Amino acid sequence: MDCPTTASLWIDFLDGKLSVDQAQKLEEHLRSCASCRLSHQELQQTIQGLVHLPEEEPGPELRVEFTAMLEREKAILASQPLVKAKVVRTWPWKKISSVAAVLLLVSIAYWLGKYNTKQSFNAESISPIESSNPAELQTLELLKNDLASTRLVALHRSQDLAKPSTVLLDALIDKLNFDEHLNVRMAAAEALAHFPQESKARTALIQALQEAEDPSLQIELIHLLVYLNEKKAIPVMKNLLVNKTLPDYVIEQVKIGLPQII
Amino acid sequence: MSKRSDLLTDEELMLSVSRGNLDNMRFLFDRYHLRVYNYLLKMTRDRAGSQDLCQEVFYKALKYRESYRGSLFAPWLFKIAQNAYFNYYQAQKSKRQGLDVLQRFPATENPGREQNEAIEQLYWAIEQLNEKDKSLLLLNRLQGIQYQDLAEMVGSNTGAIKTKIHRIIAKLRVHFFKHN
Repeated sequence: MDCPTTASLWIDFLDGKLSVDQAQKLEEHLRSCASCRLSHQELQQTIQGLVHLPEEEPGPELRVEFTAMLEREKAILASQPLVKAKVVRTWPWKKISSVAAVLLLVSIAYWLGKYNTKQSFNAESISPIESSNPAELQTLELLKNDLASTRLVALHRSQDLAKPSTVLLDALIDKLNFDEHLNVRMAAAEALAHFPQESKARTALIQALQEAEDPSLQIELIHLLVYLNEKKAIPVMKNLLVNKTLPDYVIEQVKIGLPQII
Repeated sequence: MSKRSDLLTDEELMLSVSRGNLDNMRFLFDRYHLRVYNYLLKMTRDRAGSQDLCQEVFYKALKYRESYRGSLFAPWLFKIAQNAYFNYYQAQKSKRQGLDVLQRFPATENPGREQNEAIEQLYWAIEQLNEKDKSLLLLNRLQGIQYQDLAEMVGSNTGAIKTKIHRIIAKLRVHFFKHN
């Protein structure tokens, strides 16, 4: 055989990834070719050297800090059901109104379905705005609540849903863009980022970054888009870099985030 | 009866963490903190910095637990580690400190011996790679993240990642053997 032109074949050989037949041919070749023997030997030493680089133990404080952090997070989580319980207690009519909302939405969905069926017999073409998931309907209802804390609970709950309907996505996007409370807008951004498979959610996050004026929201959106590895956010982030009105610390986050989208 | 937590797979543990059983993160910390710390240590060559970053990785794994959907745990965790490192690297760069003025630890406790010289030389060769290549190489060769999972991590395909890693190793060999 001729000398392999790239290191790739030798690396596969060293990794044991070649067929017996291919490996035998290379071994035979090695016996007769000094130059390939050198390549093979050097690659072998490089790869083995890497594997044998010494490992180190971190200091004991790493575990201590980890345990403290875990306890903090557990305490935060434990405080959340209390918020939910309070909501139910403070608004005893909530369940009733939720049931009413379910009935209303189901009847609207039924009506829309019936209307669409007249136009087409294809069940798939029935409007996607219907939502049959009770948990989702309740979340939608809570999102309309006047109390910001209730809307925050709803946003938190929405993250438990495996697949959001278009109605819910629209409601989350509405909260992201128009809620009067910054905390709710930021929580809506985080809720949308929980549905990375929904292109509508991703697009909304990019658009919000384009339009957001509050630095905290801008930073939250930058973090989320970087976390989602959203390539379509790159042009928007590049624009932010040349925006003279942005605070330095927002620009700094863009500079840190941009190279991470790969 | 449910399985004992220490017998659960990494993925089962992380899924239960994502559902709110945060205590199971302890088992994942036990299984992974050495690996994450050593990956970061080789990227930064800064012990204190690696320890802080390692802490940050487990914090983020907890914070973003609900985004975990049951994929292989190691690539998921190392993606967080890689992002944490790139953040750190950019921050260091923008502080105009430059990584080369940071105090690097010596590669071995007892330099001078032939084997230790080889290790120093290999570290030097690794330092010649760019940050992304360095990370891919260490994740693949030291942390055993397979080509397929790396491809998913960086949004590429398996074939392209394999070729890339082979090229990085070939480049490393040149630095390792030819720099004198």
